[in-house]
Amino acid sequence: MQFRVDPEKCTECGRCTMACSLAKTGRIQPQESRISIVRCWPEVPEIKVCRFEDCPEHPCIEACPFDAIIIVDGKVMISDELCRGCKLCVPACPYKAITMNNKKAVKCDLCGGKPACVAECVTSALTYSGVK
Amino acid sequence: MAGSMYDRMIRINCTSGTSTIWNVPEDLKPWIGGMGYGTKILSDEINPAIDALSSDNKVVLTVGPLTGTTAPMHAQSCIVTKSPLTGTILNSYAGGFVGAEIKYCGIDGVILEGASEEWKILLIDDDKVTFMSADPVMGMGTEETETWIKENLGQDYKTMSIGRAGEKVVRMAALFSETRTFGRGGLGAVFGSKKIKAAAFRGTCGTDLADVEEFTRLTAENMKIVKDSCDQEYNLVGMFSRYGTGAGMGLIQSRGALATRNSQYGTFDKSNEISGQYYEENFYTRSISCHGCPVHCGRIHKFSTNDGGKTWARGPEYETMYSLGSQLMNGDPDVLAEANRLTEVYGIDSLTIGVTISFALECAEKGLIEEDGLKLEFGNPESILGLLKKIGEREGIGDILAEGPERAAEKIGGGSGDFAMQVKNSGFAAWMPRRMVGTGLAFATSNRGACHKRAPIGAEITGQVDMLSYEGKAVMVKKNQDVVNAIFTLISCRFHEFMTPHEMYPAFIKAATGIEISLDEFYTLGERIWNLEKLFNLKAGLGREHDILPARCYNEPVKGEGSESSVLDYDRWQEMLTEYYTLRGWDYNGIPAREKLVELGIEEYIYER
Repeated sequence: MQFRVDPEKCTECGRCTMACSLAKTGRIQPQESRISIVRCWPEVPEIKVCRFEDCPEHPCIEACPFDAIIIVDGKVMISDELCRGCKLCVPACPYKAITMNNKKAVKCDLCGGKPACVAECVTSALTYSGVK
Repeated sequence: MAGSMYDRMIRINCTSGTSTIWNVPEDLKPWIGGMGYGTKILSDEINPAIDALSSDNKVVLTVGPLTGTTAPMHAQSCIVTKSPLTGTILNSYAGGFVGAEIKYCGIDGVILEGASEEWKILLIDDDKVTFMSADPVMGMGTEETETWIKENLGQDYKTMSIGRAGEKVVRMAALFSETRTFGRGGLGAVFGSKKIKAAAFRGTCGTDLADVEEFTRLTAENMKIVKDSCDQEYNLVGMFSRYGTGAGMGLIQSRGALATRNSQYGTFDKSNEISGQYYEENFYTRSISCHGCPVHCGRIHKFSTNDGGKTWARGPEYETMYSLGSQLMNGDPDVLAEANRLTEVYGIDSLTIGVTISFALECAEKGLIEEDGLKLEFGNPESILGLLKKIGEREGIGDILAEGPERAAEKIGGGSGDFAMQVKNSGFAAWMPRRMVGTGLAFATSNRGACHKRAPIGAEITGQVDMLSYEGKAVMVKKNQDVVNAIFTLISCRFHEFMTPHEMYPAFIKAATGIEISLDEFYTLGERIWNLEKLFNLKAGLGREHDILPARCYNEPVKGEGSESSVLDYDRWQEMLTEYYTLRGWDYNGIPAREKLVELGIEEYIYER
């Protein structure tokens, strides 16, 4: 299963950001979302979210001095337990996908295999499906 | 459990440059939010007879229980104020993202009072308000102003602003928000009179829901309805989703109801070249959504300007394709896009300015006006763009036209009022009253001037009812007005109700706020708001004589193939108006009877001559 992001299809509605914050915090508060959309009118937006397999170098892993960023079942993840909140991974991410929350680095974790954002995206700018 | 309303608003005193938190009183809560809150607050706090441009006027900006939530098609925010264009109470709406951000500030809205001596930008961070000098952005267009705010003060602000027309208190000036528009009624002039150039909101509070599980279920159900509609080929909202709101051009043209050449004709031979489909096929196009909306009817296009340059803009939307297109005999999609962009730069309602320009062009044709250095001809890009700029700058003839079509006709004279296509000084929307009798009644009886938001347009244009008949139209219009006022307490997008079963509204209100309201009570709330607005307008000095269409509608048959030479019968039309008043529980002069007000629980607002 692969998470794919296509900014060309994005209409910037932001349903993904509401769904993400609801899934992660139990409240609708998009500033806590692990995906965000930056308007670049008239051109397509910048979508800040982890690209997983589409970012094969995973520079965040190298940037972390505490080995808190690890590969789990083929997916890059941040261990909340091991993260010390040093923020070094934040500028390392080419997709600006890592943010700080309660002094810990956070990013998309695919909601354990059922990403809430993908379910809300009506134009298929976000997809999660099997890719050979 | 906390609900989705914060039960607090910010009162911002523009005179003193201070702000206070105002806790929403218990007796306001049954008005749900949005237009309900705005109408009640304004009715309670200002004298309807005041000058709308004086510091006594207030601006009530509100959101509703579904704003900022996952409920689809609830991006809009609502402003209620006294209109300097119409002299009535005004409710005006814009989509985009500012509504959700107001909610995320942890408030249900703001109330602007007084007037500043210096031009200001308001920064609202959660419930903290900062007044800052607007000097760096004075004279800028709306998009430019808001881009400046984001680049210099914070990219995450959601903004609203006025352009040069608002600065110059042009009566049809609009308030813009990130290229969406609080269009009708001259809000830009009200902001200009208060010397507020822009406001920016940034919130960290998110929103609660009284019952997250039920709300999520309702959202999923509603999303399915909306998505299914968008997938249907002949569903109107589906067409908006694919081609923008301009998708309807072919339908209205085929019914001979596309107001053309200052409403002399009902068809336009170049309508295909200014339609949504044409822009989609021939111009760079990106679909853009309002906050949380799956329909994405917004469009960004790149196009060429009349002087050979290249630029981009949002729109034109359907109504603008008429007002700056067919109504002006302008069949050039680039010129239309440029005129639309100029309304965003100057910050002007594209509907009323289009009608004002078409009125001016006909005045010139009849020898009633002329302008040094500017030809005034239908279909001439120089005339259209030139007049638009002159009105935006209040320059030359533009200073008279900036007062609105009715007021301008009073100054110009020569019987020009007969063909100023307005009601209460607000320009007609695209639909022709002579071709759609119920829609005409809605224009005339609207509490905010020629308004199409509460008209039986769908039923008439699709032929579900006979568009030329007077029968049953009073009933339809009353129902439309009450239902739409009810859903505007939630500030639902007007298109939401096209698809959504009404039973969902009370269910959403309960899941969001915990407030129980039956569907009948919800409709009654709409009627209560309608009556409260009417009482305001009566006290402001507007009576039956103002619920009237311009003489052209009764005297001149619509020309053009397919328009059947339709014309309204004045006496029959007046009978329909009386029938409408009677249905409302109003007397011959449109004054609500005491019993009606007792029934609605608003007796204290009674109007007695």
